[in-house]
Amino acid sequence: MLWFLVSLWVKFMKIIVFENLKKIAKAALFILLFILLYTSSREVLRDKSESEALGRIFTMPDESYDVVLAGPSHIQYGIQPKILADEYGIKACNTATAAQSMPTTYYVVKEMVERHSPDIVVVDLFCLFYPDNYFTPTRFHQAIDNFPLGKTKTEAILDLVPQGESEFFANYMLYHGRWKSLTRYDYTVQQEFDETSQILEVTTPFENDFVPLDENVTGNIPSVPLEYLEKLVTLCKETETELILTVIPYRADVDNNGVTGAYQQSLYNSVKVLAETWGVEYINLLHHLDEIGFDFQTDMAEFSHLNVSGSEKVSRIWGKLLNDRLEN
Amino acid sequence: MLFNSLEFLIFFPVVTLLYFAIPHKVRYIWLLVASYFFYMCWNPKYALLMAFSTLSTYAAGVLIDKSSKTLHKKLWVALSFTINIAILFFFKYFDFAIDNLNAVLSLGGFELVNPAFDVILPVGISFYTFQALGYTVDVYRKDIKAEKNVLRYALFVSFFPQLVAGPIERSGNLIKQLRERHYFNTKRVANGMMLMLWGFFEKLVIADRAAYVVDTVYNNYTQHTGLTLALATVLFAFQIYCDFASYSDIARGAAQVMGFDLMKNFETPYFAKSVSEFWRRWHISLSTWFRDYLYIPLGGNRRGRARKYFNLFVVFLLSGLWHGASWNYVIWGALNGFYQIVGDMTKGIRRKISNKLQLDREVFSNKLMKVIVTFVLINFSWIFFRAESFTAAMTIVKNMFSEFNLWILTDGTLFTLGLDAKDMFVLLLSLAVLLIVSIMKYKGVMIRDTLAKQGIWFRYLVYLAGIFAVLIFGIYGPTYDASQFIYFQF
Repeated sequence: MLWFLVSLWVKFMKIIVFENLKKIAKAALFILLFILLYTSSREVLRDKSESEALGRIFTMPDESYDVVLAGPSHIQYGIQPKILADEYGIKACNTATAAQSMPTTYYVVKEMVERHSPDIVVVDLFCLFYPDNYFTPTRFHQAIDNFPLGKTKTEAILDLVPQGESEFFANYMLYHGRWKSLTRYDYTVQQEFDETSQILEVTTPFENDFVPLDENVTGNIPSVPLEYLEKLVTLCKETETELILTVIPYRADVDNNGVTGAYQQSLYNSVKVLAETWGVEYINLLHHLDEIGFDFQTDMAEFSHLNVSGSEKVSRIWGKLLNDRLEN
Repeated sequence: MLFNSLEFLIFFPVVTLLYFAIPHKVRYIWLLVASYFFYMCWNPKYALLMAFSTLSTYAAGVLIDKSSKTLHKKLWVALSFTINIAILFFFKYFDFAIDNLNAVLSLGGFELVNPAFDVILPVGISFYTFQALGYTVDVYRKDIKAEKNVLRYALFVSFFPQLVAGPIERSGNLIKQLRERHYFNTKRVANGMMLMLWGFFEKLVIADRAAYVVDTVYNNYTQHTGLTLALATVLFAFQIYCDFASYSDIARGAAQVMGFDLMKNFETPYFAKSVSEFWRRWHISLSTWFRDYLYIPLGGNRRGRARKYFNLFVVFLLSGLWHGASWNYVIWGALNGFYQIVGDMTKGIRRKISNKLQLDREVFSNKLMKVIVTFVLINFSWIFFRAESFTAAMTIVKNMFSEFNLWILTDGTLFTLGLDAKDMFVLLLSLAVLLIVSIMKYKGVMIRDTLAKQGIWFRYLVYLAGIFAVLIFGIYGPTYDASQFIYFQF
C-alpha cells in the first residue's frame, strides 16, 4: 500500500510538477486571482446590518477583553461596552445577536473563552423559553457567519443545523442574492469599530406597574436550552471563567409570540434554583428595578428592548458590579 | 446529486483527480464506482434497478453475439426490449395507465382499480433504458461487437456525467472510449471546464431566473391575458432550452475533462428554419435514437408517403410520451408530428407560391421570417408541454388572444411577474449573451478555441467574469429552493 502511494506520488511529481512548471504557474495565478475576487466579493456581499459588532469582535487580537456579554437582543441593546470602558475602565464586548438561542450562545462563549480568556462572562437568559426544535437559519447566520472558520464554528454548525449545513460553511450561497441591495456602505471598509452602535433611540412609554413573578414559582425549562446552559456552566468552570446569569429588564408581563410573560419568569426562577446548586451567580434585574432607578415611562424602546436611557442605566449598574468582581 | 449542488462541486474534482492518479487498467472501475455513488445519492434502492437493466441488456448482447441463427438473435432482442420496456412502463406509466383505465371504467359505471402502492419514478430511467436498448440493437445489427467485460458495460450504462439527463449515448461512440487510455491534458481540461461553466450560466443565471416569471404566470394562468401569457411562453422556451442544454453542456464538459467526447445534444435549435430542422437540432441524441431505432425499422420514408406520415406521427407521439406520462406530452408530441406532416405536404405548394411571387428564398429577411414562424410554432407547442393540463393549455391559448395589453411593458406590470426590475435586467442581459453566443455557434465560430488563442489577461478576465456572473447572479442557495433540472422527471 505504502509503495503504491509512493509510486503515485512520484508519478504525480514527474507528470504534473516537473513537466508542467509553466502551466502550474498559470494555474496558480488563476487560483490566486479567484481567491482574491472571491474573498473581496464575499466581504462586499455579506450582510452587515445586524451583527457587524460580533464580526469585529472575532477579528480583535487575542486576550482583548476581560468581560464578554452574550445572549439575545435584550443584552445586545441592554449593555453598552463603551460605557463600561469609558466610565469603569472595563474592557468588555457585546457578542449578542438577535434571538440568539442558548445553544448558539454556548458556542459564541466557547469561541470567546478560547480566544480572549475573559475573567467574566455575562449571559442573558431571555431565550430560555425557545422550544427544543427552535432553529431559524437567518438568526443562526447572524451569529455563526462572524465566526472565524475553525473548530468551534465547524462543531457548532454540525451540532445545531438540522439540515443544509453547507450554506453555513459557504455563506456566499446565501449572500450572493444581496447584489440587488448593495449600498455604498457595503463597499466601504469600516476603519473604526463603534461599540456604542447597538442602541435603540426610540421610546415607547409604559406604566410603571410591572410586578415580577413570585420567585418561588418555577417552570420546566425546555431540555435543549437547559442542556446548553449546563454545558455553558461546565465550560466556564473548566476554563476558570466567572459566569453570571442575568435577565435584562423588559416588560416580562407581556406575552411574546404566544408565550406568556409569567412562563418566561418562571424559567428564570428555575435557573435561580439551579444556579445555587452550580455555584453560579444569578442576577435578575426584573427584581432590582428600583435600585437601578428604572422608569418604564422613559427607558423602553418597545416592550422587549431598552432604549438609550434604559441601556445607560443598566450599563452603569453592570459597570459597578463588574468593577467589584474584577477588582476582587 | 444535482450538478448545481455543493456536493457535485466536491464530488467531481475528487473523482477526476483520482481518475488521473490511478493506473489506466482500473480507471473504468473507479468511474463505475463513482457513477453508482452519484446515482445512489438520490435513492440507493433504485441502483438495483439500473443494475438489473444493465445485466439484462449485457446478457442479451452476449447472447445475440453468440447466436448463429437470425431468429435467435431476434428473440434475444425482443426479450431485452420486453423486459426493459416493461420496467420502464411500470415505473413511469403505471399510474397514468391506471388513471386512464379508471376514466374508461367510470364511463361504464364499473368499479375503479385502486393500486395498493405508489410508484416512484426513478431518476434517469428513460435515459439509461434507451441507451441500453440502443446497445442491444447495435449488437444485433453488428454495428458493434458485444462488450464482454460486464463492468465496462455497466459503466457505459451508468457513466455519471450523462446518466440522469443525457445525452443518450451510442454504444459505438462511448464503449470504445471506455477502453481507450486518457491522459491529463490541460487544454482539454480547460475546454471542458469552460463548457461546464457555460452550462452553469445557462442553468443558474437564465433558466432558473426565467422560471420565476413562467411559474408566476402559468401557475395562475386564469389571472393573466394577452401579452403576459405570450411573454411567459416565450420565456419558457428559453427556460427549457437553457435548462436542458445546460445539463448536456455540463455533462459534455465533465466528460471532456476526463478525456471523453459525448455527442452534441443541441445545435442552436431556435435558429431552425422549419420544424423538421428544429428536431434535427433539439435533443439530438433522443431524436436520432427514435430515427435509428424506431422510424427506420418502421420503414422510414421508403414505403410511400402515407406510411412515412404514419411513421412520423407514431415517432412523435411516442417521443411525447417519453417526455412524461401525461396527455399533455402526447398532445405536444402529436402537434410536432402534425407540423412536420403538414410542412412536408405543403412543401411543393409553398415552393410554387414563392416562385410565383419571385421571392428570393436565400435572402436574410426570408430566412429570418422562416426562423420566426418556426419559433412561433414551437412556442405554441410548448404551451401544451408546460401547462398543468390540456384544459389549462386551451385556456391559456384562448386568454392569450383575448387582449392586446401592450401596456404591461410600460406600466410596471412586467415587474410583478416574479422578477423585479433589476432581475429582469439581468435576465435580458443574459439572454443577449445567449443570443450572441448562439449566433457565433451558428456561424461556425469555435468560441472556446478562439478564446484559447487570446492573451492570458483576456482569457482570465473572461473566465473570472463567467465564474462570478454565475456565483453572484445565479439562482441558487437557501434564498431559492433549487429547482430540479426539468429533464430529470423524464
